[in-house]
Amino acid sequence: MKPRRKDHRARRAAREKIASDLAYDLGISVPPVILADRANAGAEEAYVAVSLVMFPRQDSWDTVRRALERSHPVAEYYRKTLPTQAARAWAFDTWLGQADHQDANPDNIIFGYDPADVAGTGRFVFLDYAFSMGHLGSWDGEHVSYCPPASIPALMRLALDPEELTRMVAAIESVADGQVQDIVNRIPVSHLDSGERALIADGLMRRRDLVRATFDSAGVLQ
Amino acid sequence: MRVIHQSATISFCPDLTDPEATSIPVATLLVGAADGLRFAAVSAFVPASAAGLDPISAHVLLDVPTLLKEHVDAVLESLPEEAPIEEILVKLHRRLRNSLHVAKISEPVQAELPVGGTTNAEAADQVAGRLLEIAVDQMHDAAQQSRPRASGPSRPATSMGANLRGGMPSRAVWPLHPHAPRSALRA
Repeated sequence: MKPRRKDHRARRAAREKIASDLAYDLGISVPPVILADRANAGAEEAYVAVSLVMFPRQDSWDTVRRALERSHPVAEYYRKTLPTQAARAWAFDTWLGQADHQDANPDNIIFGYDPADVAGTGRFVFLDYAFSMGHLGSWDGEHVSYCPPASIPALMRLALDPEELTRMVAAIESVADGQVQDIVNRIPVSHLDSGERALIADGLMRRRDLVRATFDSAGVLQ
Repeated sequence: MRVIHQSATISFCPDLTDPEATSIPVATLLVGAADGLRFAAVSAFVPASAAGLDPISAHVLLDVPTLLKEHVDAVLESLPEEAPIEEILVKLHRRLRNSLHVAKISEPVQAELPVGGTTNAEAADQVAGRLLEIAVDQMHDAAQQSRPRASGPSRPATSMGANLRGGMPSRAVWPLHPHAPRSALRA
């Protein structure tokens, strides 16, 4: 559940929900999120998001990175899904202006699995979109057009599949205006006022058409 | 020599999706300071065999001492030199919050340690050794307290707990020098 502390203008819970719903439509591995009102929140935030713990076992990116760097035998489990999932998440994060998936925030990317079937169930899960989508004014005015490649852990960047990245850019471009508006407008006013709602929806629609140019400039598309 | 020390219990949750799951203590990390010296000591209770554990969990648990040391070193680099030892454990708590997580941070303890060395190096060795003994004792206590009690039906994770409790101890102590080259583990 988050946020606990008073949220002021950042509207973090709403951003978590919008990111989760968009990710679901695009096949990105982000946990399902529901919104809740805490009647007894006291001094804490009343309008919160609750996300699902998806796997019995979860390890942070730190643990994954160490195994990959040392070529430990368990790294094979990570390598199996890393290229595809890293590519998808990089495109998605760039669209949403997500800056919190990096080596310095190792708990924002986890590897989850069922211990009874590690190879069959294991996959990366991308967390914490609370500060994406123009929080605290970063999408105000023409700032929304500043669409650099999102941060990504170095080992993910090296491993990602360019073909999957290209496919995901196309998938993002195919998201209809109505789909974006439907997802943003389902957030209740308690969690997202009308001004912020318009800013997020407009920002997503404008940036949807900038993602390809961003990766073209970086020379990473196929 | 007057020493202040504080510890964190590191536990492993066998099933994060099960509200009834009980975490199993797998290590104690103790941080201590005395007369300008600071040390960290870890006592881990590592499974003797990976039998019954999935490969990733076995790898994570067998690697706990090294993993904790790397986390502590990373935390130190982010803190000012004069930061209280509690800050190290609080930051570790924020970094370890998945299957392997900080389950508990104890209250700080002040104690008088008898130090009989004639040189600073000997005194430091004695402090480090004593802190390691405390960490080992605390790990032993945590493992004892987590022994399974008679209870109702549970999910398969219980068998993993039995494996952990049948394991072998692993321990290490090292000096803490913020912003200095990373030190080596000393068992």
